[in-house]
Amino acid sequence: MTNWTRRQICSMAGGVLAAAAAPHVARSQNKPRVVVIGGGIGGATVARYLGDLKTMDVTLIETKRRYVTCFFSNLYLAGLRSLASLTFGFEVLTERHGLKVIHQAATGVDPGTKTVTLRDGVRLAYDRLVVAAGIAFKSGEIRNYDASAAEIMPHAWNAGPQSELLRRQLESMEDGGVFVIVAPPDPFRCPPAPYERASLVAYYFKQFKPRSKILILDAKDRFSGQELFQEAWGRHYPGMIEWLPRQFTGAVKIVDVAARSVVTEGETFKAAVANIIPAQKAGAIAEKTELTDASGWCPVDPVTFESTLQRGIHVVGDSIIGGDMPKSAFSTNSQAKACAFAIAASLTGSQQFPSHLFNSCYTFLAPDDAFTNAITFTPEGGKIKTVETFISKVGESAEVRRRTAHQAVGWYSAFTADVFGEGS
Amino acid sequence: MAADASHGAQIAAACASCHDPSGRGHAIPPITSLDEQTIIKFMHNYRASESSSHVMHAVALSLSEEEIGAVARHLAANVRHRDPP
Repeated sequence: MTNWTRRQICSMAGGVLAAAAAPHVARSQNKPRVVVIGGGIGGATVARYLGDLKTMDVTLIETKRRYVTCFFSNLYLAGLRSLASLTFGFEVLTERHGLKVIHQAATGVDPGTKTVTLRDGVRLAYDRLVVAAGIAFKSGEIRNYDASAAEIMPHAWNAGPQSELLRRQLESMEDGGVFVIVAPPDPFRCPPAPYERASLVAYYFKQFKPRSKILILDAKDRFSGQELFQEAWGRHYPGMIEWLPRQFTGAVKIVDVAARSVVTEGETFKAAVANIIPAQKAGAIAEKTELTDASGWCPVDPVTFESTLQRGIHVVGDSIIGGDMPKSAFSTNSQAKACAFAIAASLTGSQQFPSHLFNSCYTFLAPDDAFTNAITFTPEGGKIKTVETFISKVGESAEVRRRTAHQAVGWYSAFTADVFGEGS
Repeated sequence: MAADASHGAQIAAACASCHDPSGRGHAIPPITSLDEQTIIKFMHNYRASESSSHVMHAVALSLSEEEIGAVARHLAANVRHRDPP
């Protein structure tokens, strides 16, 4: 449905009507309108911070009623957290943070008329649009790996049913099996996560299936936090985890779903359980809105996070070309705040002060052994540049690592309250 | 954190990525009941040494004196008291 008619307006629910209709139709206030597509970490953070200012009409569009965080989902895979403890709704945002949430798909954006079309044909007008599209998978990079293959060989790179599928497979795997993780090429969501996954699944195997092995077939020759991981693997899980870089295998080219095997340039590896994490690109709505360049990702202004390809549309999170910023929930949350204050400045005349962009990630090597990093960034010459990096060191005491693991749990609770609203 | 777009509020938004706004933090200490001078003193200590927290060391190094003052004033002016038990 592409045309928005008076009849359709009249058939819509009141809340939708207020957001969708032109100002003269049904608006009691004349606030600037911001529409946010995507209720993940980036979209929810932008919407919450804009909503709190109470100077704009903020509408968040998200298909799902519940969001499961990718961060900490490796703890779920290892049986250390429930999926319910990683699941958030949008009720607190609507009740306490002054925004509307519409649970529908956004099917199109018209930057010319500044409207977003929803699945049911309703159009929402905006003064500023934020697209927080997350990631999609590149098709064709690994032959035979498609949506139906992912039901047998899960990616579990969006948390939720895919995580549950992988957990079930790990639970039903016989002791002595090989769990194959196919790790993607850069750039991808959460650079340490495939290796954290290996660590925590190894922790699970060590307790329940101690003869099992984990094989990481990597599309890269180096990975994030490599020294920390490899030292910990030797200490906690000797002989259990093997990592094969691209230079040894040429990387995985084909999956054979029926045989549950993966094929590199010269070898076939049989898996008891296979976790295929494909190469990535910006989420579908970003591509459809022509926010992506030839790289498959979205170029943005590093101060305002406005697209350099479509004026009036801002992009935050994993789908952007973030310069030195990794694709992480923390980076996304930091970008979203800078973006929210930039939008407020542009629509309401408030001031945007120089933004501070941060990333800090907690990564588990075992339930009581975690490491962390802290990186500061600044916009420079149209790109996001690293200012300083601090990271845990190999050889830290067990007490320091225990404290970091404990802090990680505290961080999770504070961070999710920041994104999805304060529950109390 | 308070809902405004002041200089202090924009910096304090970054604090809220780790510090529980309800003041219930355990492993990561709450910062919602500190006075201005205490916050400034903490930030100077974090800036001087990486040993207690490299996250806070990185944050403190990235902020100017004016910014530390602005965020300390903002946090102290928006003190939240814990709910009675």
